[in-house]
Order: sequence, then C-alpha cells, then structure tokens
Amino acid sequence: MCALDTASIRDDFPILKRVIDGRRIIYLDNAATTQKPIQVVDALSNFYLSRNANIHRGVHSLGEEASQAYEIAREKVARFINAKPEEIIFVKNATEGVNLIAYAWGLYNLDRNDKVLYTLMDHHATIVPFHIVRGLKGFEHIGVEITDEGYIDIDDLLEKIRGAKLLTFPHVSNVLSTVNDAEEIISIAHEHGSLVLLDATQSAPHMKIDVHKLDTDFLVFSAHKMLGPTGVGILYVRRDLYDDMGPFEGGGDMIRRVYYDDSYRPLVEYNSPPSKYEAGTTSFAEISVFPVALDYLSRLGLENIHRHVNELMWRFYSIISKLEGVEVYGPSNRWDRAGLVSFNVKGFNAHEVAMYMNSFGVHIRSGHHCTAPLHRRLGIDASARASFYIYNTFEEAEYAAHLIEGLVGA
Amino acid sequence: MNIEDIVESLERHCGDTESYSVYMRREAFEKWRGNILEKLSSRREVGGIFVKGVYKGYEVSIFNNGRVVISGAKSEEDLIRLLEELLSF
Repeated sequence: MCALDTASIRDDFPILKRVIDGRRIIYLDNAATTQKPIQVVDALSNFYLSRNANIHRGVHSLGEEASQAYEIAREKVARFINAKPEEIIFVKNATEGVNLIAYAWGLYNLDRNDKVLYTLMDHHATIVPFHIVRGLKGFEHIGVEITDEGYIDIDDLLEKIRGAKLLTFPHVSNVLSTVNDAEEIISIAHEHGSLVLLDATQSAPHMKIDVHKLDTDFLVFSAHKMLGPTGVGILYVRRDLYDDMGPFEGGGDMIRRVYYDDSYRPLVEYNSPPSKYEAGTTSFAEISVFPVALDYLSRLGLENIHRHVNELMWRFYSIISKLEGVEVYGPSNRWDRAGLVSFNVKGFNAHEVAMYMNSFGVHIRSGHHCTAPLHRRLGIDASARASFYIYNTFEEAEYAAHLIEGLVGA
Repeated sequence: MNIEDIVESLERHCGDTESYSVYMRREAFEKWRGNILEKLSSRREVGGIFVKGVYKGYEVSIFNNGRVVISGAKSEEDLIRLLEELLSF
C-alpha cells in the first residue's frame, strides 16, 4: 500500500514535469540532492523580495525581521531533532560541520597518543577532515571493518574502540543503504569513553532523529537532501561539549569584541556558541526558509516517508537482485536498508549503466559516491546508485529496474 | 578542425579507474561517429542505445545522444590524445 499520495506531492515539484530528449525525467538521485517543492522555492523568493537584510547587524526593521526568521529557523531545526536551539550551529553543508568538529574540537582535544575511529562505510567528508587534523596533531586514525553483508563489524569495533576519543559513522550508508543501529554503536563508544560524531545526512530526510534518544555527541545533516535549499548544513553539538572547543573560523558574528594592547597587538573576545561558530555572513535566506521544508516533511510524516522510500527501494532491489550478472551491495534484509540501491552490471562500468538509464530519462548516480575506501573494501572502482524519495512512484522504481533487466539481456 | 569544434566538454568520473564522459557537439557527433566506430574492435551494440568497443585497450562506449564514455585514460591529456586518434585528426 502506498504510504504517500505521490500524485498530489508531484504537483508541488514542477521540475518533475520536465521532458529531456523526448523523455519525462525520472529522478532517482535523491541521495545526492532532492528536488525542491514550490513552497520552498516561493518562500526563498519571498524572502529576497520582501525580507532581505543581513542578520544580527542592523537595528532597522528589515534586519530585525530577518534576524527573527533566522532564530526561528534555529528553534524549528532544534525541535526537529529534539535538541536545544543553542546546540544547533548553521554551517554551509554537513561537510563543513565535520570540519568544524575536526578543527574546533580536534585541535584542542586530540594528541599524539590519541585515536580517532572511522568506519569503512564512512563518507570522505567524515574521514578527510580528521586526516588533515591528524597531520597537525599526530593522533592515530584508523578504520573499523564492515561485514560482508554490509554492517559495521561490531567485533572489530570492540577491538579498536579501546583508547579512542572519537568515533565517526553514518546513520545510513550512502552506498550500502544499511541503517546502522546507531543507539547500540553509540552506547558501545560511550562505554569505552569515546565521543561520537554521527553522520545523519542520509537518515534525517526520512527517519525521525532524536539526539537525546540516540545520545550522540555531535551530529550533522544537510538541508538540500531533504527538500531544503543548498548552502545549509546543520551541526548539533551537545551543549556541554562547547566548553572543550576552541574557535573555528574568525569574523562576523563569532566576535564579541576586538581591541588591542599597548603594542597594537589584537585582542579578541568571542561570542558564546552557537554564534561563536557562525562566522561571517551565513546563508541566512536559505536557513530562514529551511523550516518550510521541515514543515512539508512533518505534514507527510517521517514514518510514512520512510515506509514509502523503503517500499520503492525494495521494489527496485527485488527485481534487480534476481538478475544474473547484477551485483547489489548492502544488506539483503529489507528492514535493515533505507531508500537506495547501489549495484553493478557485469560487462558494463557504472557510468555506462547510468548513461544508459539516462537515455530513458532515468537519472541515477555513478561513481564511488565519495566512499572510495568502501568501494575498495567491496573490490570495485565504482557503482551505480538509484535513490528514492517522496515524489517517486512505484511505477518509476519498477520501470528503472526493468531497464536494468533490459541491459543485462542486451 | 580543432577538437573543440567537435567536443563540447569533458568530465572526469569519480572512481579509481580513470574514466571520462565526453559530450560531443550534436551536429559534429553525427559527422564523426563513423570515424570512431570504425576504429573499435570487439564492437557490441547494446539495446539500440549505445555501441561499446575497445581501442588500444581503452573501453569506448558511444551513446546515441552524443555522449561517449571512455575508460582507461590516465589523464585529460591522454584522453585528448586518444580522442584525436579516434576522430582521425
């Protein structure tokens, strides 16, 4: 049964009516970015047409309105993940959120004898920032294995977690589709004295995130993967951890006071978080309208959305996983998977598969999806990936799967 | 004739194997498609959508919409040299 009324949802997404090379587009690259409903596009347009002014600077009416809208957005985002507003830092994307932690926490808390763990299913964005800071601080940075079925290897985690100060892992793998048991993994990390940075970029778009229930220390996700505008990342920091963090970028709202001593050496006092971490002019227009996307998702209900994308995934998966010559990655248990399927077709590289699909109007992604270590672990260079969202229909999922069937038989 | 007269853009794919999409200018593509095809060995037509073959160890797939996927190029310079050969420059 369909959990969502896709016909009426699709009316809100004019882009889905586009015809390219005589084919109506079927957009199955939602793990990269989702399309935007007209409500979000209108809200952004209205912001620029009627409310635009920089925030937290002017005392004029427009500045006050814009500042209010920005702080209301912070409150709404906080409610969406059951956090406190002061625990929400707006960044330009999830990647910047991870970099912020790598520098503002990592530089002040990691040293030569310390250890940071990532998992082999981590996105480059949660690996590379710590790799860079490792070059400055010299700590150990090692990966936790995954099982052949596509789960984080708990035995390997238990072996490596001793002495770790931080563990990063994705709530949902952007390649394997695995829904990791975040509560269990976080609990293991905490039992061993490690903090956790949870990458929720692939889970927040269709799963209820409750930072208290998860008990995570840091969490990142991106607005553009859940109907929101680009240029907006969300970083959650557990309130008490701010005490252990230094500044990140300098300038703008992160400053309370700049003065100088007798020799004109600058002296700086920083604002309190979250302002301390929002340097310069932020994407305030996009941030202010992000709640429109959150309201849209809340109206549909995250449970319904998850059920819908899981059903789409499963219809696609069920067809292609039975095809000889098609290798599908990740768990075979439907309920341990989210809303995407990565695969390869024997005799064709992933880019040929994606371009073949594109010839029929079907937009899927090909490449390593910024998870080169995971692809190496799987013994492949690249994969094709179909990822589903609220406006995709069962017919689209089945049509795409039958195209793969046609390619195998071609 | 320069390569820019035929090729609109090149895009390197992400992945460990060096692989590129070549976007041919539509009008030029029709003209030069035959030049590429005649040089490919192990030629195989796939579902009426593209032709896949091999040229000097590089995998080359020519799609009907004017796109070419080339795998095995070691760099953009290597790709351009290969394209010049394929297009009979």
